[in-house]
Amino acid sequence: LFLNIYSAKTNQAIFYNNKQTSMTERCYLAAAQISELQIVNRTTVSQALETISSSWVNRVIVTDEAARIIYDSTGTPNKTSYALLPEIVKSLSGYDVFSWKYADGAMTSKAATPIVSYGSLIGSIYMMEHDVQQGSLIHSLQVNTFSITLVLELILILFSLIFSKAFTARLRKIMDSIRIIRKGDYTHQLKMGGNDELTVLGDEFNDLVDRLRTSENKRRQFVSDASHELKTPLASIKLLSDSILQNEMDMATAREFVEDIGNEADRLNRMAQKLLMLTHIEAHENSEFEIIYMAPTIERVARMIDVLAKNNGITVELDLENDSPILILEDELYQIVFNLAENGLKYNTSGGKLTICLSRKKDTAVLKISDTGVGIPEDSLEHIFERFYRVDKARSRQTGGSGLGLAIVKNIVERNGGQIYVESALGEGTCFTVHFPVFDAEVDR
Amino acid sequence: LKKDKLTILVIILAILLCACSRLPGNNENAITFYYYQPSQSTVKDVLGTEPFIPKEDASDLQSIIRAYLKGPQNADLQLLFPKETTIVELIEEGDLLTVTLSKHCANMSRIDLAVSCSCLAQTLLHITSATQVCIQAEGGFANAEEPLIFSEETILTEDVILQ
Repeated sequence: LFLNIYSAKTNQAIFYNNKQTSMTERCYLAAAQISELQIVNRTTVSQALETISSSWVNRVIVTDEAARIIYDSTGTPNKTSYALLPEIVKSLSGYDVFSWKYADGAMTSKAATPIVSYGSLIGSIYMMEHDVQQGSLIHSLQVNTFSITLVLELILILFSLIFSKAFTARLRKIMDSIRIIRKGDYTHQLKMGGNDELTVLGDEFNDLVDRLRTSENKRRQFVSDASHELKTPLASIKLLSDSILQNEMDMATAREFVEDIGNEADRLNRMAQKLLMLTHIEAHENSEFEIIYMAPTIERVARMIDVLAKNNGITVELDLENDSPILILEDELYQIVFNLAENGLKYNTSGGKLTICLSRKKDTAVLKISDTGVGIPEDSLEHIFERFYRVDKARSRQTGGSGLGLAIVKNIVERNGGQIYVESALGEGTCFTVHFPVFDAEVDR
Repeated sequence: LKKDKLTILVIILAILLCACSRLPGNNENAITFYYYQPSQSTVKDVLGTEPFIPKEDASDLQSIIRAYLKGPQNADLQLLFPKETTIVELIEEGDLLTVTLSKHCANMSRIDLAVSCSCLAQTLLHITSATQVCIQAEGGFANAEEPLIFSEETILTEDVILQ
């Protein structure tokens, strides 16, 4: 709209300047001719103006210095007619005058200049042009400008309406999907189509829903597993207590039953503690670290499990020569080593061996804990880090396992920037390998 | 019912407007004074007007001319005659009205004389039955060879386009 108005105004300015120049020059020329006349009257002025083609001018008036008309191209003036037109009066004050008006489809231009002879003002010449052709040109220009502007505005409005409607529809699609998800249908997928920001938003939304679904599934699985795991010792406690109440038994048997109840309660307690630990690990970002060497912690774990190892007839071997500093809290490293070593003892065979070895591969510190136990079937390997997963449930309960130890280990390792791998062969043993980035004091600080 | 009320309201308004047009402010005795209207542009006419209501005891032509020579109330208008100019004589002979002004205006420039006399002549042509107005100065104008005679036809104030 502004461009069109600017264009129209510019065109008008060009018209105006051209017209002003041409008319003023004609006036100058006529004034020069008249100023050279010895006698200035209608006849002489008429003859002087004949040499200047004035076919394009509608009216020419020549006055004396009192604004009395000497010559009027539209007819014979009265002897004492006064032309008190604004242009003439102003030009008699010594000014060149030009005025321009567009009305009723015609362009009316008026110009007047003083006539000076030998330095004295002797009159004024006035010219008026009523140009319908240029007027119609300006008119058509204005009409075209207006029409183009109108069409453009309409197209713009139409486009805006279509665009806003399409945009609103797509937004409504997202809103509908949000409502569906809020109701709990995590299988819903948003199909946006197109290739714009909203499509990207739709993809992000679907990704978020996928994560939500996975998280929800995990939560359900966890609640289900935890309920099941907690129910088993509780059922045992109930059964044992009922047996004591319902059956007549001697003191030694009753004591044995109560001892079993105590064991089940301990198991429940351990499970609850591990669940709390797991929840704590998952819920909190690791913000505290310390630079430690692994060997001292491993030696502490070795001392702790020494009694259990001896009771099971298992030899513990340590190879801690190639130790490296890593960034981890000592308690967390202790938990990793203890859980893995405890597993190595629990699922080992009498006369077996548990080896804890440290090594370094470039910038990686490697902790290897291997046993010569029963091993893990290949199809179970990918599940052993899941919560409550047990390869041999009967054996696990017998050894007091909660099914949470390896899940805790994996969580701690990963949140400290490490990785854990497992290799196993049935009847030969299992080897857990943990990688941690070495903390190089000079580079990493 | 609403339509009827609206019609009645319109009629009352129309009656009131008619009454207003006959208020003392719109005196039928009001006459028009013509003065020079200076302007930087060419949009305005050279001759501007302002209304004048003659007092009852000064409604004769001489009094009106005297009032005219006092100058316009409107700041946009201008009286080109010198302030001291007075009317010396006024003669009405058939269609010709001859006004003789004091000698104070005798030395005016030709264009100022033409414009100011045209204004006075236009004023007199509109308030009298005269068809011609002759304006002269006591002792004659220094810059005009003959008395200045004006009629409706001899004053061209606008360029009417001949279609």
